[in-house]
Amino acid sequence: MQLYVQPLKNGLTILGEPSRERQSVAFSFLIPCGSIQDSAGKEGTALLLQDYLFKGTGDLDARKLAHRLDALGLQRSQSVDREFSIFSGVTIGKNLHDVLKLCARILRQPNFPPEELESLRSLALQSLDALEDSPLGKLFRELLRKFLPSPFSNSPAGTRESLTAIAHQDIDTQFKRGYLPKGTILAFAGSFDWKEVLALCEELFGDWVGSPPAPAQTKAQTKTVTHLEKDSEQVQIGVAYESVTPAHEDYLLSRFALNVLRGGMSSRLFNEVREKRGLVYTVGAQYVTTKPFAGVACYAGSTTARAQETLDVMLTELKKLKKGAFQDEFERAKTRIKTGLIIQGESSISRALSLTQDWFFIGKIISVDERLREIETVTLAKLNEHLQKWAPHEFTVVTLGRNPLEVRV
Amino acid sequence: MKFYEATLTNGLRVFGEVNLLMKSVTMGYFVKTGSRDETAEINGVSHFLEHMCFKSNEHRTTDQIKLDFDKMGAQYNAFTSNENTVYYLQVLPEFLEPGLELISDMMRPAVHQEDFDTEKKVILEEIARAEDMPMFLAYKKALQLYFDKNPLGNLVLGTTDSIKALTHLQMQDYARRRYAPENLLLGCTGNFDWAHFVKLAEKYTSHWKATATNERAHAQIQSKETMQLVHKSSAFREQIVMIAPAPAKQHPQREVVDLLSVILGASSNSRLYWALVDKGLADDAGCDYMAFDQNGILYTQISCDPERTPEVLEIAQRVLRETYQESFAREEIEAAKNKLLTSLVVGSEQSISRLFPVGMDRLYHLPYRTLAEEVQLIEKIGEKELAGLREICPLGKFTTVLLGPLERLNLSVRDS
Repeated sequence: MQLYVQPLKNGLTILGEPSRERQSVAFSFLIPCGSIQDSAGKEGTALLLQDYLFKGTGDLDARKLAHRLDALGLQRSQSVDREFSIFSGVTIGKNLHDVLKLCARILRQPNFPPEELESLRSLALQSLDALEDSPLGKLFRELLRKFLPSPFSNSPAGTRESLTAIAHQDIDTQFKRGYLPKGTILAFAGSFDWKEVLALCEELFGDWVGSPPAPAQTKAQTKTVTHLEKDSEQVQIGVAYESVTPAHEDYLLSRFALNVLRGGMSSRLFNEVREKRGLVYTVGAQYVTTKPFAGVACYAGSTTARAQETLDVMLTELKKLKKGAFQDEFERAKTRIKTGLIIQGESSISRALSLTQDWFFIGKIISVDERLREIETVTLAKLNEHLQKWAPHEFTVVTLGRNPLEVRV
Repeated sequence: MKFYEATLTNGLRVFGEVNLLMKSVTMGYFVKTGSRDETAEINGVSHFLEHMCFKSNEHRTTDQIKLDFDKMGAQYNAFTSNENTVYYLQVLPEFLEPGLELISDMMRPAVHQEDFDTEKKVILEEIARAEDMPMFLAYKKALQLYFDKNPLGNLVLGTTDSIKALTHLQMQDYARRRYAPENLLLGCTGNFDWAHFVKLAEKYTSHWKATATNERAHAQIQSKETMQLVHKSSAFREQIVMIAPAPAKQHPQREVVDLLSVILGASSNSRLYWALVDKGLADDAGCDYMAFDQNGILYTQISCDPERTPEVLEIAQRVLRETYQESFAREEIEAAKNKLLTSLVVGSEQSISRLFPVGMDRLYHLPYRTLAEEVQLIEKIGEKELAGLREICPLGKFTTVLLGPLERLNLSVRDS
């Protein structure tokens, strides 16, 4: 599969992986306007701003815009992370040109109708409450708040106070400061013609100018243990530890390590916590990353009486990683990573997102074949060396439930 | 894409949809059994049994099963609803045979006492977890209230008491009755050879014996206007669930009902979206068509600030009741159709997203449709077809459950 990269003069990078076998085409915009650009006391601005974009552009009000997007069969999704906002979508190949034209209007000339601000604010506040009804979601927010270095620790969702403080002017200011071509990435995957799409991108975005401010310096947090009280049946347990970023030479090894810990049902956490002891229904581990800092967030939910044992077993397994992986675990991790990559190749939207993220985090894009070759070079010895160096030893722990737990390491 | 179907000598039905452009192959067993097929005494057994199928059987130990999945790099899982249990795995084409052998063996679990006792704890944790999720609780309560004594309202997870009391012998007996070859369906989608697949299916299932499967009882539901307020002090949001009757899975108009649910309650640009979410009155408002074997419902769920509940409820009722009062706008029909069409095309490119819709239709003996036929069916829906739903999908009376911090509801008196 041929990969294409074309930086435009204004700093916007266009990426492409065309595939003639498909009918669908996916695109993904990464705009370097994330929650770290929210002003102090106005956390949540980037998120409000993203929803605000869809309230109209030019002669299209929110309703007309929504109808136009639907008429083009666009299945869209959007999110705001610490360092960027993502707007992505998938449609049928023949609609791509019209979709892109509309996207350019949405991203470059939003109306931000003042009368819509209050309903958007109300929704953002309601989402905060909704998170209280989703124990795992709340745990994750609090775990990252304690674990990530500042300014990444602030949740993109903001707080009740900060959302209330955001004025229309703040939205406008942040838009002008952050929705700019320098650092923006636009990736395509699926049914499209590279030359045609590139020409259209030049036409739609070539005259866009500006660069967002450089991200602030980060400041690490000390490792803490926090308990949040909640009247719930289960205690949610979160344990996070530092790992390597995607640009680090050990990155691929860290993927292997994560697979040994929580890949399939034969992985250590699943086997020890759920299969052998029946302590939980949910137990998982997830890689979280920003450009300068990355980690692994593990989570589990157990009824109050069994939560302490769950935390104990989790920590024991994490500490055990230092001793290295076994040959058969290594082989399984390898096969799982390879298969995951190949299967992901069936989905144009996964490919577009993956190109965008590769470019953002490591400054290059990697084809599935190239990645597969890279995986073949990993050995058990290298993995175990990585585990020696990077095995978790310091933990940030957050629990949510009736009683606090004891961290016995 | 090519479709095939066969029935093996033991009565097991098999289907395949071959697409050689795909990079993977997804296989799955569809079992026509779920909580609606349970008595109160064994409530939750279908779902618990789904977990037990990942435990030891005649050919493999529990550890071996997990290792064998992961050695293939498979993506795999299972799920249980009130009427179906589904097991699947997605692998690269070279693992077709070991994958099929593994998942076929799993359909004959040993259900050993020791495995059973450990897994019971996992199930109890799953029930506890659901208790902490108000959205799920509201769904459960509303289905129970709507279906009343009809087994379709049976809880999928069971209750803490029913699970605690369940024995491994009861489960073995249930598995024998419900996992008979003629109550199962094996399917495969993606990059594989059909003739080879059928041979393998024979090889790994021919020893299965046919047993008597008890038939499912069907009873029609009388739609009625009922409302229940469930107080949950620990919740932050009020969950509103409204259920109205809709056509069964077997009904020829079900694509039209699908489209109607998109018009009424898709997550963006739908009638409920504009009436509630766009106005900032509810952070979530959606409508789903749930089609069951010989039954169906239109399911609406909304999440709002507790103090706004009366206003939100009134708007939602009005939006739904006015469905057929005016004609459907051409623009909204087209928008909804395009949403469905894109999903279809995107889904057709991945083996895993083909397995479930095709399999569910096959399980209930519905006609197979090619992607082109499905597209055509959606494309030809218009105002007339939607208006024609008035009789089979009436939106006048609702079973409503409100679950959340609200202790009492002050509604103006209204006739229904």
